[in-house]
Amino acid sequence: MKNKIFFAIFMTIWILIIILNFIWPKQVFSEEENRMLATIPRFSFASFVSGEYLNGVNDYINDHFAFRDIYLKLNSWWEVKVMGKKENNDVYIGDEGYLFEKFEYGEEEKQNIEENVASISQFAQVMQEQKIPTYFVLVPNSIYVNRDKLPKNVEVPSQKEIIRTVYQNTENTKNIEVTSALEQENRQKPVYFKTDHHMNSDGAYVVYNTFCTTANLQAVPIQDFTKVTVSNEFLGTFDSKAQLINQVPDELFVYENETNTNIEEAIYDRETTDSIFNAEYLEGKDKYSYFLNGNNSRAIIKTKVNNGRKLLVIKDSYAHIMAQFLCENYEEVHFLDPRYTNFNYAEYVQENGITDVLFLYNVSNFLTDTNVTKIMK
Amino acid sequence: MVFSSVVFLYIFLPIMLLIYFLVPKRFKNLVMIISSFIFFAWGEIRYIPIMLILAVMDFWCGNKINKFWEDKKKKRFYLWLDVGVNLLILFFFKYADFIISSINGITGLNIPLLHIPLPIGVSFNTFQSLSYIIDVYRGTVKCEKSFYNYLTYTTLFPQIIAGPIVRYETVDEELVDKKISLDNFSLGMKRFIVGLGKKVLIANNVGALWNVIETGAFGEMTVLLSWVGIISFALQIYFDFSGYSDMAIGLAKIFGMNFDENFNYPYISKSITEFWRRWHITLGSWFRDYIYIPLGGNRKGLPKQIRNILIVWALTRSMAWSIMEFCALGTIFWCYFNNREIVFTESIR
Repeated sequence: MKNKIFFAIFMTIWILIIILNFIWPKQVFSEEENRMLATIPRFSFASFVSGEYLNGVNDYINDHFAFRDIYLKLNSWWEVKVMGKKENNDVYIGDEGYLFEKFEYGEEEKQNIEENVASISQFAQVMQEQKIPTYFVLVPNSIYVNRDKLPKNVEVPSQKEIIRTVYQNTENTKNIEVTSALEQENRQKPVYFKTDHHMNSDGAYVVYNTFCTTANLQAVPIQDFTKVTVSNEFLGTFDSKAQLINQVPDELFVYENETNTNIEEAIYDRETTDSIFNAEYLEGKDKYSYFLNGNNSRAIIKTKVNNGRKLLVIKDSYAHIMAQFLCENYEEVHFLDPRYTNFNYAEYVQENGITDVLFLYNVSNFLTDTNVTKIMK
Repeated sequence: MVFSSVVFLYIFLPIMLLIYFLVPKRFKNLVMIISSFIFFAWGEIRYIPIMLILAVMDFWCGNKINKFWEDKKKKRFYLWLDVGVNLLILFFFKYADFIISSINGITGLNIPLLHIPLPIGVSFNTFQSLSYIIDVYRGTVKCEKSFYNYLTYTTLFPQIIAGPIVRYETVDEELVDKKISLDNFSLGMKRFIVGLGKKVLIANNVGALWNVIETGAFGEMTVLLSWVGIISFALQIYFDFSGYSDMAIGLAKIFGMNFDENFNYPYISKSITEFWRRWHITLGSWFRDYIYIPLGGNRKGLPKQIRNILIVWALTRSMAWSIMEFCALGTIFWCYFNNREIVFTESIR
């Protein structure tokens, strides 16, 4: 009798979960985690023998499990709140609400740096021949600048040292050291988001200011901008990854003035607008895309500054938040992201009459991104 | 595929069981064979042909031994042929790279390593094959006349990850006549759930605690923390192994088969001897019955006894690495006790 009751209850629950899984809506993109979910792998004999196919099936089923979001939250609640762990899904939980992504610096990264440095040097040489200056900024990551807020016993390699080595090995560029300035500013007010991997607008201003000094530009003083808070609900990529509950959101703010709110036009991949900001993104999860319309392969900002100077920024997403300041000093600012482009950048420089080039990367991405080498092809 | 994975619990197992219970009796073994192959394919598909060849080999040799029952020489030849092939394959998977790198080291050659991943089940498959062929040779079991049934026995997937080691004599009747009932299903499922809980809820969590302590600085460790570490480790390996065994026994029960128990409250043991009899029982008894006693055990004088102990010691040591590859540290601990235990037991007697 007892067995019959168990059988009835067990089967009901089991079959219910199986059916729910089967009919559960299959999302393509997870807003919560900010990533593409796995798709059904295509079957081929080779992928079956190598195990790739069956692993793909595994991922697909895991990614589309019924109530997946709730399970993720539950798991992080258990790990962090109950077990007291200072880490979930490779994200450290630091002091004062700061989250940090693990930073690794091993052989693979060193190898990649070498290749990236070689490409940049080579490109800068071509620019030098045309009398176009190439600036190079490597921005350290939050985990390094805020290392005093890391959990106990977590060590982070010195990004200052890494940046110094990269600068030493890069030829033909004007390298700009921003780490000390960021660290100094960070003692007064945060220069990074707590829940996201990017710098905030204060950090961006520090980088802009330092860049202007080297590039012989007149930096617009911070007092000449109006600070505008556009969202208080920003939960960034670290939060998505760690899936924490009760995480305090970041403030998303910009520095506006007459020049950067009143541009000629902004040409993005899919649309042309008259703003370097896009308020539509403030409604969704990915609020950082407010800056420069998110990830585009190319973004061209034409300003009302009439000085004939045209800047090409070869960059990752750290440069997006810089747009608000860079358009103060240039007639045109072109942003190119090697991750999404496939053409020769030297030709691009000629065709568009570029006068200055800026490489802007964050350290963590520079160590792992293998697309930088594409610019010379 | 592991038992605690979503794919196993919500796709593989329900589909397999549905088909298994629906098909007529004579096809049930076929369902088991096919699902075992799918189960292994999830880990390492290339091992399946080898598994098939081994099964043919065992089956053929077993029948030859039966045929030449009166002819001692031939009988012995087929026994050693099968044992040899089985061991050769096991040692190939386990030691090929080790041997190559040793040769490279000594001769200065540069033979490339093969980097063959150790397929799951290779050790347990060997244990099962050997117990079958030796039992047939000894006459303790009748040789299997149906290759279909033998293949079912040798590919049984529930116990392949961590045991218990299933001997042919334990299941020979159930290979033909399975005791499928609602009661067995419920009992098996309960057992499986208990095992799953031991593994996921207890072993994984105390394991995480052990990991934290283990990676800390041993020099600065307090006495209390050291003890917490030792206890968490002891609990982790027990709940891990016994959880897997429970799941295997439970699954078998659902399919209508009965496996031997593998753990019997090892931590209540009052002596190391007792521990040896309560911890991974089927492995211990396998070594006792097929290695230690055939070699003469403790009955051929002290020098031979010590030799026998050392052989078992070396074998458990090397075998264990593969059986418990998912818990390498556990193995050291476990071997340490096993080894100590045998030496200990024998020396106090």
